[in-house]
Amino acid sequence: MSSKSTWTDTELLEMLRDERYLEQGFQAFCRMYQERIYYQIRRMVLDHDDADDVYQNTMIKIFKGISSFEGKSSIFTWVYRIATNETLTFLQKKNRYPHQSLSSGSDSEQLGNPGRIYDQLAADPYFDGDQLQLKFQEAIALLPEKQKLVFHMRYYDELSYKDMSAILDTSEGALKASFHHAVKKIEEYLKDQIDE
Amino acid sequence: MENLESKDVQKELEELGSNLMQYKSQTGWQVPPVYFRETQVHIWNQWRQTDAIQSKQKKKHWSWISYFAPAVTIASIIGFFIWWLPNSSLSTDANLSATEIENYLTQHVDDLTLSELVHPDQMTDLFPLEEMENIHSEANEKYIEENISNYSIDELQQML
Repeated sequence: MSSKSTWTDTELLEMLRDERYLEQGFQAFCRMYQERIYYQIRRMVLDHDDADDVYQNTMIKIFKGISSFEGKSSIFTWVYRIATNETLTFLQKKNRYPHQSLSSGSDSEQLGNPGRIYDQLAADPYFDGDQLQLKFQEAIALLPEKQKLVFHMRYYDELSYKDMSAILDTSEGALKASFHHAVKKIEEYLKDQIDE
Repeated sequence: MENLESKDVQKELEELGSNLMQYKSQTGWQVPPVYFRETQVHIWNQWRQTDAIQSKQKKKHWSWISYFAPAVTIASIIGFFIWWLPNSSLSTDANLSATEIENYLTQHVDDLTLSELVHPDQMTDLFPLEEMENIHSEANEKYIEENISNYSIDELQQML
């Protein structure tokens, strides 16, 4: 099989289920999806180290499950759902068992504290953004979990409401409303910050 | 497809009167150098390792079954024979039809004794007691006559 940059779902599955083309299939899959999966996770968990953990777990789960993938949805939808579940599970665990640190306080505090989110991102060597960008990320981080997820899916990953509905098992109308609420909240937050 | 969806998102935000689209291109999430290349190798190794362990466990599972299956088969066969033998034709309790019994008795009537042919309770009905005694006494007299030379005088007197 020749090396190309994009593969159809069928081609990818054929390669990943055939021992002879397994490595080629793995590389093709990574070329197509690794960055999308990583950034999807990273935008939710913010920190690179956390994103790295969740990303690796997600990828292992994907490859272990690929042989039993039934093809009822597209590979991307299936992959996105796994990554979303892994991320949400991670965030729930993190909120339930926050690491106690004298210097930074607990993570649960950080999640609801705008100042701390700003500081965390500003101090992150793997985040490069101006003040406005930091405020924008802070506004997103302060959204309720579901709204945050919907906003990321629509705004960054540019998923259709149909795909989002398949991933989150929520009606398209409810998702649209959730996205619109999120946009309004972020704008209001940014407006307040700029006015200050 | 993605470009179309991107335009859809842009249009949707414009309709909401939002200018959030301007922040999108500036998002500065970064990763360490060669992160994806290194992680790809790591994930590949981890996946193959767990896959190898899983297939080993599967093999172990199957080898255990391959030992266990013949034992179960043999036990089943033995169990079946234990259940089947008492019901087979070798059994003394085999069900025979009345005609089969009659034929057998007709052919082997000489091999059977009176008590085997007649049920003890029916014996007296077939042969009333007096007749039974007569049969016995007649048989005795005949026997004595045939063997009289074998008896001593004392023995004959006692019989009388």
